[in-house]
Amino acid sequence: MEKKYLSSLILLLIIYSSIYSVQGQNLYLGITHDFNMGPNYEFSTFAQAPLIWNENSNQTLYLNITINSLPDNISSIEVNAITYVIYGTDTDEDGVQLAFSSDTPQQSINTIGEEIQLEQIFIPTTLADTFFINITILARTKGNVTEGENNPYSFRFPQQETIFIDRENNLVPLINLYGFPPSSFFAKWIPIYLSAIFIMAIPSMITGVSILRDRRKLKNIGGNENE
Amino acid sequence: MSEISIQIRRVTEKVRQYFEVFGFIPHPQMSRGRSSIRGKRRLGFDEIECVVAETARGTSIGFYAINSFQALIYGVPYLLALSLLLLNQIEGVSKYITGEKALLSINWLKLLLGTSEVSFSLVLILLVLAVLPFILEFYHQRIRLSNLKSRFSFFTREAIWETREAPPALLALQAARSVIMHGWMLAIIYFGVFSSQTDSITELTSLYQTNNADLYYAISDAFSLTIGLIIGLLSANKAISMRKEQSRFDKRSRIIGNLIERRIDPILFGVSSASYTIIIFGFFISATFMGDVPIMLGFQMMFFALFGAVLAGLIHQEGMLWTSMSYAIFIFFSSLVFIFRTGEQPAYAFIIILQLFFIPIPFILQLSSNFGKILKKYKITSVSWLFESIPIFSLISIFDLNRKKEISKKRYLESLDQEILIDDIEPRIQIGKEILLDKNSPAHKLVLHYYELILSYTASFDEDKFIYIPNATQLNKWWCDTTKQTVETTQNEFVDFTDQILWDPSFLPPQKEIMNYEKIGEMMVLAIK
Repeated sequence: MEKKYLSSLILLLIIYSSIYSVQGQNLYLGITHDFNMGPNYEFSTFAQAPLIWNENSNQTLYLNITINSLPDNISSIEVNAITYVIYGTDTDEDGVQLAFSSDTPQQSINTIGEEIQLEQIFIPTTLADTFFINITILARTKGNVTEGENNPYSFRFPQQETIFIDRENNLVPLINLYGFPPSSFFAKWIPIYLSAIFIMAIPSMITGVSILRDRRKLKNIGGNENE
Repeated sequence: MSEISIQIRRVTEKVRQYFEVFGFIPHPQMSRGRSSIRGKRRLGFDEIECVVAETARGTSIGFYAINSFQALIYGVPYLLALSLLLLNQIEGVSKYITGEKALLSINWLKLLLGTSEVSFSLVLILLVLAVLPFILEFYHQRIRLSNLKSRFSFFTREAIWETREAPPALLALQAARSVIMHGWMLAIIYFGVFSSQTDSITELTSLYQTNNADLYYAISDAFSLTIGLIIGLLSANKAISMRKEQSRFDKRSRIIGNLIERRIDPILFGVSSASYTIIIFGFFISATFMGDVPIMLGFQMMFFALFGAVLAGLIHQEGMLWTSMSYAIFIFFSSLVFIFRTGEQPAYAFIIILQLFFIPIPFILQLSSNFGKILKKYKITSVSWLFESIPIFSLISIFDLNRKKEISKKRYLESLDQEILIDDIEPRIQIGKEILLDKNSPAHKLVLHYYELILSYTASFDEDKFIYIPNATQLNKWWCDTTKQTVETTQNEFVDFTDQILWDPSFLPPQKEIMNYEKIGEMMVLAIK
């Protein structure tokens, strides 16, 4: 290796490492979902949160709700409750509901284009390494005359991907010997092993017996091997 | 007995010597005008019969091979396993083999064959492994026959043959036979953990925090690595030994060339023979024990077999101890490879402890190489018993040899009842000695022993030598060389005593002395039989 290329390689290494370094604070903008509460009556929402969560700190999810269109007889939309349900996507936790939190903001939106932003703080769960959140919004229309129905609208954040929890203290030891097998295993296995060893040792046993027999014959006859 | 012509005796003796060199036990049966020598292989049941006859144009020899189906004994374990497999399909019997009432609560098919399902490839490979040794022995016997015939081509009626050469694939496959059985036994030990009917694995898998499928994959992985190395080592070692043995009879199998070629040739031959073995063994194992794992493990086994074969070719000259040491080192090496995987897959920790139990096996194999010294006493020098789990033919041969020796001795003793035909004895002998004519007297037997010794002495020389009747010293020296025993003082006087009885008219010893010398003569004759 030539020494003059070494500095360029070190520079490349630094650039590469900065691309792949995990900072975890870049917010990911979720897809905007439009929900139709009635004719000519629509609101849209999107969520924002980082896709990689650090294990040791709390994370914040930002939820934006806007009204797209509002008919005349409806004056405002009131957001009553928002529930956040975390579903795991590890193979063991696939589809399992891991955590549940809710928020009751009781805020209303009156005009088109008005935007409210809600925050929800999450503590990273220990049950799974990857998950997604199902956000359900319970919104109610308020009209001049009557109060409308509550309708839940739910969507998944992030739409296609999953959120990943970056655990730092995940040291798996390189060599982990768990100890000796239990005696119940040996009780079944030792007979198989010993019979195989016995079969393989048949020539040695015959050799030993033959040597003993020759010695005994020599002792009896007194050194004379003639028959 | 003295009516048998010297030419027949001489040719029979020569054929008998060649049979001994080629590893056959000769049983000559001589009669007036012809003799037949049945050569039975010392290690095996094949026979070659040689018929020597006196014709008008001289002595003629014919060789005939007598093959028997007894080589199918090598396939008995595979046939037993196949019959168990087929018996399991019958409703009433299957509960004793793999069902509720299984003996010792072991699933026998899972223990012996790894699966209970009958598939085409499993039945095929078991049949092939059962019949293959027989076909190879049959083919090898024809080659031996042609090699023997070529030595006697100037005696035989037909022209000189182009002798067949034993192809290297034949030697490699013959070496494969015992190594595949050894590998099968190791597979039984490895996968034996899955064969119990009672639930002995749950404690194991919970201790190692794994599950059955991961444990099975880990065991298959370790098995393919370790057994690949071991099979490569053993099959290459045995194939090189068998080629060396074959080269005693056939110069074409000898390794020629300069020093480097002579070192590299065994390595290449070992690698090619190991590849034959590992392909057959790979088929067998993927049909039986490792049926549910990816095919990449089979390729891993073949790859590591080549490593083992190269090592075997390098260390073959050093002997059996180095082979056993490399066997043990291979086990350590594969344990070392898996020790670094225990972090991600805990089942490998179990594998490492399992493989420690395999360390005694190479040293048991090495101890059994002393079995070769016992076989040398019976003049069995072939190596086809090496690495055999149950050396059936060797054991049967040893029992058989003792039995045959007794039979040939008994046959000689029964032949002492023949009368000495007066016409064949020189008229100078004092026929008036009554003791010689009575065929039950010890003097009669004494003279028969004497004639047998002298005629055997004469027949042991080549045709073109002019042979004198031996004196006492020469006869005793020949006797010592043939039987590899030392001579006692009374034996030295045997020939002189018999000479005196035959030629000295005034020599009339007491009966007891004649009986003593008769016993000595009988011992001398039986020792050379």
